[in-house]
Amino acid sequence: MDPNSRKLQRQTQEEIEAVQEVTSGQVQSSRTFEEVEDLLRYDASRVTLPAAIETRLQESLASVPPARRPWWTRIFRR
Amino acid sequence: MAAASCIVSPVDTEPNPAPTPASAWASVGFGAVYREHAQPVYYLALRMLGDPVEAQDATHDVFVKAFEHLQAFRGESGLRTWLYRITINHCQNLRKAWYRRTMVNNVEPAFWDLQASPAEGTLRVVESAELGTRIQQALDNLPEEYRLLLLLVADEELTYEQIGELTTQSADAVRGKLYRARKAFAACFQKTA
Repeated sequence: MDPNSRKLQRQTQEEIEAVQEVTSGQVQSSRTFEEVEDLLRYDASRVTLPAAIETRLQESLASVPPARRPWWTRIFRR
Repeated sequence: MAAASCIVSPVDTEPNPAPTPASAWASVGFGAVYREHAQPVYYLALRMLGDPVEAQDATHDVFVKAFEHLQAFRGESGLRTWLYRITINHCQNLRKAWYRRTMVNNVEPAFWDLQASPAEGTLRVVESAELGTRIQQALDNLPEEYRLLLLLVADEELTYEQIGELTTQSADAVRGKLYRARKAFAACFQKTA
C-alpha cells in the first residue's frame, strides 16, 4: 500500500471516529503531557479531598490526649 | 557549678502547657497545616492504596499521628516531607500483608526496561472519567519503589534530595531510577488503553 493511500485511510478513520463521538454525544478532549509527572499532577488536580476527613479529624483530635513534652525538656531548659 | 546552672527544677520550668486538642486545631495552627497539606497527603495515599475509602482513613490517621507528634517535629526536614514520611510508612504497613499475598511483579528493574516503550516521550490521553482508573492500574503494575518515586516527584514542592531522603537513597539514585520508572509507567499506561 502506498503511503498516500495509507495516510488517506487513517485520515478517513479519524474523521469517522470524530463523527461517531459527536453523534454519540461523547466529545472528549485530549491532552498531551510531556512527562509522567505532568500527567500525575493533572490527575492530582482532579482528585477532590473529601470534606468528611476534616470533620472526622476534628472529632478525633478532641479525644487525643494532649502531647506531653519529654521529661528531659521539663528538666533542662531547651 | 556550671552544669547545675542549666538544671532547674521542674516547677521553675513548667513549660507552656501543651495545647488541648480542641484548641489546637485553631490555636496552634493545626487546621492551617491540614488545609495546606491534606490534599497532597490524600493523593499520595489514594494512589499508594488504590482505594478512596482506605485513602480517606489513611489521611485521617496520618494527621492524627502528626498531631500527636507535632512537638517532636524539629523542622529539620520540611513539614511536607515529614507528613509524607508518616504517610508512606502508614500505607506501606497497610499494604504489607496484601503484598505478601498478591504481589506478582517483584522482578528485576531490567525487566521493566525491556517492557518499556521504545518511544519514550509525550503521553497523549483522552480526558475521561476513566483516566484516574487507568493511572491507578498503571501505577499498580509498577514495582512499589517506582510508583512511590513517580508520586513524590510529581509534587513540585519536593527536591530530588528530599525524595532521596524519603526513599533512603541518594538524589543521583533517584534520578537514575526515575528514568526507568517513567518508561515503565508509559508502557503500563499504554496497556490500559
